[in-house]
Amino acid sequence: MITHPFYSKSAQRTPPKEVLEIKVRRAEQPYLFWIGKDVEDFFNECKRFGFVCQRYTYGGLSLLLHASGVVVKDVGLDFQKDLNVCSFVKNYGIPLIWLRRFMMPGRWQSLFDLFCVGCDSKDFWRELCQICV
Amino acid sequence: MRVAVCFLNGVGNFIFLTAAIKVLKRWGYEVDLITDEKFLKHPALMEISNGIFNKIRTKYVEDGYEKVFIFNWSVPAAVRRKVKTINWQEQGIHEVQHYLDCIGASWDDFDGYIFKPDLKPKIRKKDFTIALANCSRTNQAVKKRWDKFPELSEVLQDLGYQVVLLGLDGELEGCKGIDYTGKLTLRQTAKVLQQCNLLISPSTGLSVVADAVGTSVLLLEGPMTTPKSHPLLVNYAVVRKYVACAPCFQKSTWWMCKKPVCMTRIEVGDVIQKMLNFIPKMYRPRRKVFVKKEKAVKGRKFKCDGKVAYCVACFNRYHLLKSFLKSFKESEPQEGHVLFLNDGSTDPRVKKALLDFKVDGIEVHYFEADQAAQRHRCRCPSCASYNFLLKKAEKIEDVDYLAVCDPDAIFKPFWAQRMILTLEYARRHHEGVGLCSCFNAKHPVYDVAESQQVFSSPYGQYRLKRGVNLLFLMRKDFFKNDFGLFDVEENSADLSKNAELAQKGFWSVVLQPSMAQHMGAFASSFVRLKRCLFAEDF
Repeated sequence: MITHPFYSKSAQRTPPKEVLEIKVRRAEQPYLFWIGKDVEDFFNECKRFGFVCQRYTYGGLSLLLHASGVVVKDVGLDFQKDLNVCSFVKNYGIPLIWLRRFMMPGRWQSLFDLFCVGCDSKDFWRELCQICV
Repeated sequence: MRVAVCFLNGVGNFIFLTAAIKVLKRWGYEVDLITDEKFLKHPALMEISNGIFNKIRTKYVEDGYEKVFIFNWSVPAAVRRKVKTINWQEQGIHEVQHYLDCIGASWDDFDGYIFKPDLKPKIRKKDFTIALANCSRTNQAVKKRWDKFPELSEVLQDLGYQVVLLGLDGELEGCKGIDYTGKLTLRQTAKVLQQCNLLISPSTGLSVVADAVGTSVLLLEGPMTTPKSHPLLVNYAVVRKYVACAPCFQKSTWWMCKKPVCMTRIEVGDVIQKMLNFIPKMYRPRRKVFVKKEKAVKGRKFKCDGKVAYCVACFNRYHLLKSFLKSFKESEPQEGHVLFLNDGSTDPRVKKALLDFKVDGIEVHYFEADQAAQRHRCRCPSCASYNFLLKKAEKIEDVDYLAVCDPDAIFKPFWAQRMILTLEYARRHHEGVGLCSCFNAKHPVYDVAESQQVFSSPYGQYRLKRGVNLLFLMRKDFFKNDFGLFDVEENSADLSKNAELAQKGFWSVVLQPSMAQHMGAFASSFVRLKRCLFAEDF
């Protein structure tokens, strides 16, 4: 006996065949990857602006392909490991954000799309939201 | 003060070099070029270098130069020991940075390139113009070139964009668009490019020209390294497929490569998806004709009895109405009557189009309202207009079904027949089914939240939802109970009706995939649901 609310009593002998169950669609949130020193409360702040922020642990470069942006904080690009990551990200056109209070990235300046001295201002978040869509 | 620069390379590299030469000139130097005879035979390079250098020599002559800069990418080992040369294999460094380093400048000195486009030709610009360019002549081109440009040009034209083909003769064979390949000089090509909104190309000389003239670039990258040669002055995006060996430019894998998978794997859909980020909202595609599905459906006949009264209220938006009438005619609608209400349109073409409309087996009725839409401050016909039409349609004796159609919809073939047959089928199997709605199953506002099940019928699949979507069809007996009329006449939206019908316990049938597309709503909902762009249900 079928008790589904859609079926009428007269039609219970030959109900229409149910084809498939539709999965609920959810919008994917943009991913931000973080390389370098931690900043207090940054990850929570990201949630407020709809980003999912994750620390990049050098687990594999292909993971970065899912990123909407990569934030690089207090990193010296003289180290090959970090430079490799930044070059890889640039190769795929993913925005790179340079976050450092005093120094610019020097000769590697063209790798980065946004330069910021701190991440506690409204301007930073405005520009981050514009770039990492 | 005089300096000499040694250089021999392609067009793109040369334009990048002009950034360093511009700095030298700003510092007050007169610059001579030392190159070889190949350079002098290259018309494009000669065209760019014209006016930049004092002298162009093919041999080094002691002429009182203060400094000599070697900008060549390949230098004999003997020279390399004595003179500072470019280490182009250094990772993550842009080519312009290399040149600036050579002359002792920094990024702060960078002030664009020395490159002026010609004054002609001027293209007749239509909406959003997209330029396409490929590469073919150099040895690198075999690995860099993308072979799906013909397909891409066709899709772009289908979406309503103007396509311009640039480059050398034969580079874009089989592509559709305004063809300038092999007809223009480099500076003329730059002028055309300047008038375009976007360039889609692999990393070639023209992508650097686009950077110089201020046109956004969509780079199709495979073996080339983006950090070395990406545009510096304009917006750009990269389409690249993840292949482990890419980018491999002039590494050992580059020389060994016989099949550039990194380029062949890039699909037209990938390019279109990235391209949309460059396109302002007003130019984003508003229509997508059901090309594939139409072919599949053609030949099948959905025979059903009954006559339909199609109610269409129009207010301006002639460009959409034109598509609506064309698709309505071609969709072979069920016979009956079509009732047009010209709801105070200020555009005279609307009236003419409605009066000229003819379809076999369908009688046309034309009504005019006096500025009704404007009175209600709406950009589209109000619910009052539809109520007026529904009441008129009810009075026609031989009508069995009433349908409300938006004047900005496009239909699939036999949509009306399928709606009628599915509605009757659903009425036999479910309780409380009143109407049938034929589109927007994936629309964020009109999504079928109540029912997660899909049912199959001999005429296609369907779902059930409370309330009704915009374009719907109902039986005349359902209308007689006054369920069909809109309550809030001042409103142009139908959401109040949705809520009202849901309260009364009615279900409406939603066809899946839907039978129509709503062109007018497309742009407005784009921001919310980008992924709907190529969902054919929309």
